[in-house]
Amino acid sequence: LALWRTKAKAAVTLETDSDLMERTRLGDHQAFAMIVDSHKHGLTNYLTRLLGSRPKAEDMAQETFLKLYLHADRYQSNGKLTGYIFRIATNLAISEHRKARRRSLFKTLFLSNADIGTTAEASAQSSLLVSEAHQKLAEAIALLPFHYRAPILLHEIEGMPYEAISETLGCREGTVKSRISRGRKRLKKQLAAYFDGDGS
Amino acid sequence: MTNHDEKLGQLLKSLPRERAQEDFTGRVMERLEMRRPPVFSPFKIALVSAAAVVVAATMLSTVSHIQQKAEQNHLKQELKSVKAQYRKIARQIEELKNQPPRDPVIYVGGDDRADYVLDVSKLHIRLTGRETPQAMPNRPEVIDLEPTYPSAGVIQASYQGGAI
Repeated sequence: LALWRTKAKAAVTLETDSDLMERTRLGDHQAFAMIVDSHKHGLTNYLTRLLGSRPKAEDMAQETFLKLYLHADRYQSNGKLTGYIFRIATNLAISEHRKARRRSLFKTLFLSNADIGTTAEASAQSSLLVSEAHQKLAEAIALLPFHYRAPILLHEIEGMPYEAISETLGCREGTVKSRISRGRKRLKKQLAAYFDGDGS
Repeated sequence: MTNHDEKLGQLLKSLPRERAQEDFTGRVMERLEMRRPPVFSPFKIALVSAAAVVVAATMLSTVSHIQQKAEQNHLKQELKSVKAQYRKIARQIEELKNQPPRDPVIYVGGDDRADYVLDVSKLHIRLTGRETPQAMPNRPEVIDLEPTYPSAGVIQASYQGGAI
């Protein structure tokens, strides 16, 4: 029964999202504002963890919604809107990552190992990471390579199924599983000292 | 699943979620308003097209008018010039009419540096016969042609018989 209820809820959400997108496509700002309202927290959370910076995440989340509005006609109603929004956001993040790498700036969007300590500190001060465990985890996530970080965040934190992640990231389900597994291994390795020490 | 796996799973699930700011939606809508491409209604398109046609027609008309005016000015200038030339020629004709008749000058030769002419007025003609050559062209007479004084460009001539 619980499973059925979940599916029914998902179907209603899908329908609602499709309707809202249809209205958005026709230029209905109210419908678009409703979409933004219902997805803004999840997207901000994902991008904050992905980019390691709250201000950049907010800016990119807004940019994501703008892209969604401007290219609303590209959305296919049979797909789930959340996955579609996260795909736009991930593509923006990848694009920014590449630009930053090309420019070879000292401060890149995805920080190098040398910089991560400082940023994780700043992130911990400005965010909700009150416990030491969460702070350590945030630092470890920020140290992950991008191709491990995105699927880990989508699966472990946003609770997306593998199939949706493979659609969002544009890779095969097997690749998603393997990347999540490797990402977890890296996280465990980085947090091993903490788990075996005081945090255990 | 190992102990570390469990701990990591719990930690990931309990990681506090970041929330968007209160005015997030408002700011998205503001940015959307700034970036939205302008939407033209058919009426606006028609209005702009009509305005473009009017501007183009006005420009064409102005250019044509300017060209016509330039052409007219050019023709006026030409007419003025022709009239001036006509007046000049008329004046010269009048002057020529009023001028006293000049003694004829006969060109007798020359080269790049000098022309040799015979100034008839300067000749002292002494007829040795009883009749002038013009009066009796078929009867050559001997005449002496001597200049009053020799000068540059005037040759000393001595003519014997026949018309000059």
